[in-house]
Amino acid sequence: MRNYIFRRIIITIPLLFMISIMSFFIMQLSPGSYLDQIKMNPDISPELIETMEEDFGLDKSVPVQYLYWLKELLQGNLGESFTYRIPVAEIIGSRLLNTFILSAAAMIIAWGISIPVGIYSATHHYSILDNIFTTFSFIGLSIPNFFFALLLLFLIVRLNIPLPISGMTSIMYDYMTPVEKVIDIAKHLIVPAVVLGTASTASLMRQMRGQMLDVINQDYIRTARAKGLKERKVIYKHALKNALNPMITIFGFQLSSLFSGAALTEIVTGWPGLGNMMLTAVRSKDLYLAMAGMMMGSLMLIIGNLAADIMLALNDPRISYD
Amino acid sequence: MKNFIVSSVLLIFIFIFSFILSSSLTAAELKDPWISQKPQGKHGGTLITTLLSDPKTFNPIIAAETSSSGVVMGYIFERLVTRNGVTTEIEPELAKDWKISEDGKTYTFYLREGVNWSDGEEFTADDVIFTFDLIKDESIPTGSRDVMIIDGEFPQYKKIDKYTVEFKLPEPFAPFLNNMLAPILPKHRLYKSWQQGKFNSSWGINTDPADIIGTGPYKMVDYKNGERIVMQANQNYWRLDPEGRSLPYIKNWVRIITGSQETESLLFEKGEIHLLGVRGIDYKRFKEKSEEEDFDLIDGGPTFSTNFLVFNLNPRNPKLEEEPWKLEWFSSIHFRRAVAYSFDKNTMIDQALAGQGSKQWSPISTPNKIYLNENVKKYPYNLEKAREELQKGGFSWNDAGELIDKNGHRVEFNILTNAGNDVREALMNIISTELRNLGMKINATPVDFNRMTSMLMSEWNFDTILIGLTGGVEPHSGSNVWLSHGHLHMWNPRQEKPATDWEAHIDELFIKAAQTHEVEKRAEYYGEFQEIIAEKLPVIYTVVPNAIYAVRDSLKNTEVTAYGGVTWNIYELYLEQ
Repeated sequence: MRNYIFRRIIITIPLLFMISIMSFFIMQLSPGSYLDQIKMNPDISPELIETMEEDFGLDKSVPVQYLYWLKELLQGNLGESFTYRIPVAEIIGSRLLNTFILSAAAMIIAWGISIPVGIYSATHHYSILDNIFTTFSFIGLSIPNFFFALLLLFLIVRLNIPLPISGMTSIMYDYMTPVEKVIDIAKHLIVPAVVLGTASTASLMRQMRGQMLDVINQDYIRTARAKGLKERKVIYKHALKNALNPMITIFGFQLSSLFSGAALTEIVTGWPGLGNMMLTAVRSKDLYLAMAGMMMGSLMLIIGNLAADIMLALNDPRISYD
Repeated sequence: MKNFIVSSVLLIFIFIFSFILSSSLTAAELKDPWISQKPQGKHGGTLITTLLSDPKTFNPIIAAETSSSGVVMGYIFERLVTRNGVTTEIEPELAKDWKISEDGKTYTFYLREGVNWSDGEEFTADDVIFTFDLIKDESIPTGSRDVMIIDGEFPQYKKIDKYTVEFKLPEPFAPFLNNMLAPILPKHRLYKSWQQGKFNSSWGINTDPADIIGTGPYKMVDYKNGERIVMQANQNYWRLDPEGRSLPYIKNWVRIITGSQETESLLFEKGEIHLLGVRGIDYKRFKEKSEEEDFDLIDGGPTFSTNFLVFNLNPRNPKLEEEPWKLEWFSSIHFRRAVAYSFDKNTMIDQALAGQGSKQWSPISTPNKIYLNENVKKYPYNLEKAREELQKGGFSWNDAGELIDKNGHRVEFNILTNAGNDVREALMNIISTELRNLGMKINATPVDFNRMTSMLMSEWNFDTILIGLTGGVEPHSGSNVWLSHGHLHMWNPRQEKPATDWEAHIDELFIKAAQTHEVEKRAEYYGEFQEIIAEKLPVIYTVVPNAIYAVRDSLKNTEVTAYGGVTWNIYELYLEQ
C-alpha cells in the first residue's frame, strides 16, 4: 500500500505538468487577450496598449510565455494578476477560506441528507416517503442553481424571513463576539449552501438508494437475516459497508471541488468566494490568476482521487493495490 | 497686591493657553472655505448603498475601469476641478480659481489654502506636481496620460509657490480643463514607492485601508474582499455646512458589493439600502410601491451612454475578397439612409427600455446641454421612405419579395452585438425584424465581447455591429472615435489620410474646436460635426435609457441627475433620523 501511494504521488508531477501545458495553450487559443477590454476605452492610446503588452509579457509567443510562467512557478512565484496588479497568491489567499467554508457546508448538507435518505428509500422501497423523496430529488436535479438561489432570496424578502440575502458577514461583524460571529456566518451560509447542497443531494441520494437496493437483494443479506441478526446490524454493518464503495469514489471527486467554488451561486448570493473570481479571470484571460486557479483545481482533483482510492482500500479488504 | 499678582498670572496663563489652543485649531485654516448652500442638515447616521462589482484596485491613476474608480473618485480622492452634477459645468475643487492666458497656452491654478489630507498633512502644490509626475511617467499604465498629450507633447508644468501651479501648453487646447479631472495623490505617502518603481502595485486591494489617504469627504476604514467597503467621514474635510462645521453630515458609509442587479433590487425591497438604480423592467413594480412606502422614484433623465449600429466601410476588410458587393451596399448613402428610416425607435423604447428612454439622433450624448445640436437631420420610422431610398440606390425586389442589388445579389449581412447585454440584444432583434420587412436577409448574432472587440479593432472582418460608448461632457474626449486616423474610428479606423471629404472636414472641425476657448464657437464647430454625422450616417443611433433612482425619503438634500447620480454631492447629503 505504501508503495502504491508513493507511485501515485510520483505520477502527479508529470500529470500536473501536462495539465498546465494544455490549460495554458487552450486558454490562449481563443482570439484576443486581456487587453481587449481596455482597447475599447477611447482614453487609452495604441502606444499605451503596446507598453502594457510588453509589461504583461503578452508580446511574446505563447510557448515563451508558458516557459516564463513555469520558471516563476518553480521559484515559488505564482505571478501577478493583470486585473488586480498584486500577487496572485494574495488574491487567492483572501478568498480561499470563504470558498472552503461554503463548499464544506454544501458537502455536509448534501451527504448528511442523501446517505440517510438513500438508505431509508432503499429499505422502504416504493413507500410513500420514498416516492416523495424521489420527486424532490428530480426537482432538485432539474432546477438550475442560480434560479433556485434567486427563488430563495425572493421568498426570504416576500415572506419577511429574517435571514440575510447577500454576503458572508453582517455590517456589524467586526464588533461581534466569536460565538456571534460563527452564528452570523452560519446565517449567511444558509441560502448558498442549501442551493449548492441540494444540487448534489438529488443525484447522491439516487446513487445511494440504487447501491443499497443492489446490495440488499444479495444472498449474504438473506443469510444474515436468516441467521437472526438484528435488522439494524444487517443494514448498517453488512449492507451499507458494501454499498458505500462507489459512494467513496464520488466523495473523492467532490473533495476536489472544495476549492473551486460555484460561480453562479456566488454571484447571486454575493458570497465572496473563488468561483466568480476564477470565472472572470478565465473569461478576461487574466493569465496568471486563471492558471493558478486551474492548477489548484487539478491538484485537488488528483489528491481527491488518491484519497478516495485509499479510503476504498481501507473500507474493502478485498481491494489491494500491491 | 497678592490678588493682583495672582489674577494677572492667571490671566497670562489663560492668554497663553488660548493662544496655543487656537493656533492648533487654526493650524490649517481655510482661507477660502466652501460653504454648502443647501439647508443645514443633521450630523450623524450611516448610509448604506451598493456596488455592482468589486474594485480591482484603490489606486485611481492605475484604475482601468469604473468598478474601481467609482469607489474612490470624488469620495476619497479629489481633483483640481470637478463638474457640477446638475449643470455639468466645470467648478473649482482643490483649485479655488484659475487663470488662462490671452494666447490660451498658459494655465495658472490657485490652490485652496488650508486643505488637509485625511492624515492631517497639508495639501500643497507639491502634491499636484507629484501627481502629474506620475501621470507623465511612461512606466505607469494610465488613461490620464494620453489625453494630456497635445501636439505630441506632454505640457510643461511647474510649481510657482506653495499654492500655485502653472501649466504651459505647446498650443491652445480648450479641452485642457477637462484633463484637470485627474485625481490628486499625496506625495508624502507615495513618493517612496514611486522612486522604488513600485507605484503600479501600490494601493491595490491588499492595502491596509488606513494607508489610503485622500483629501475627499470620506476615508476608507475597512474592505472585506468581495463583500463591502466601509468608509467614514474625513474629520479634516474642507467643505463646511452653513453653521461652519466640517462636512460631510453622514458619518458612516457602507457600500455592499452585490454582484447582481437582482440582489440589489431585493436588498432595497427588504429595506436594507438607501438608494437603488432602477432598471427599466422593474420600473412599474417600484412605481406602485413608492406610493405607499418610504421612498421616491426619481427620473434623472437620459444617460450619457449611446447605442448605435456601425457599418464596416473599411476597404481593408479581409472578407471583401469573397464578398466585394457588401462594401458597395454599405457605401451607398441611400442604403444607409434606408436603414436609418427603418429604425422603429418607439418600439425600441417600449421593448428594450421598458418605456423609460429617449430617442437619439446625434453623436453627442442627449443630456449634454452645452454641446448637443438638436437640429440635426432626423429619420422618423417610415418603411415607405426606406423603400424609396433603396430604389434610389439601385436596389429592387425580386418576385419572392427579397431585396436584391443592381447586380442581382441578394442583400444579406450580419449584425453582431455583445452577448449578455439584454438591451442591445433586444435592439438588435427589433432592427433585424424591420430590415427583414424590407426584404433583407439578416443574420443577427450575439457574440462574446472579447471576440467582438477583436473584430472591430484589429480583424475588421465584420459586416455591421450594434455597440455603444459611454459619452462624456467634453466632446474632444471622443477624438479617437471621430478623427479619421483614430483607432476607434469604427467604420474605417486608422486611415492614413481621410477617405472622404466629410471625414477630412470633421478632422478640421475637431482641431479648430480644440484650439478656441470660447464655448459658443466650440459649440458651433461640434454642432456642424453632429450635422455631418447625421447626414452621412456612418453610424446610426438608436435610443438611450433614462437613469431612474429609488431614493429613501430619509435621505435629504439630494439633487439626482443622470450625470451625477445620487451621490455626486455626498458631502451635503444628510439622513433624517
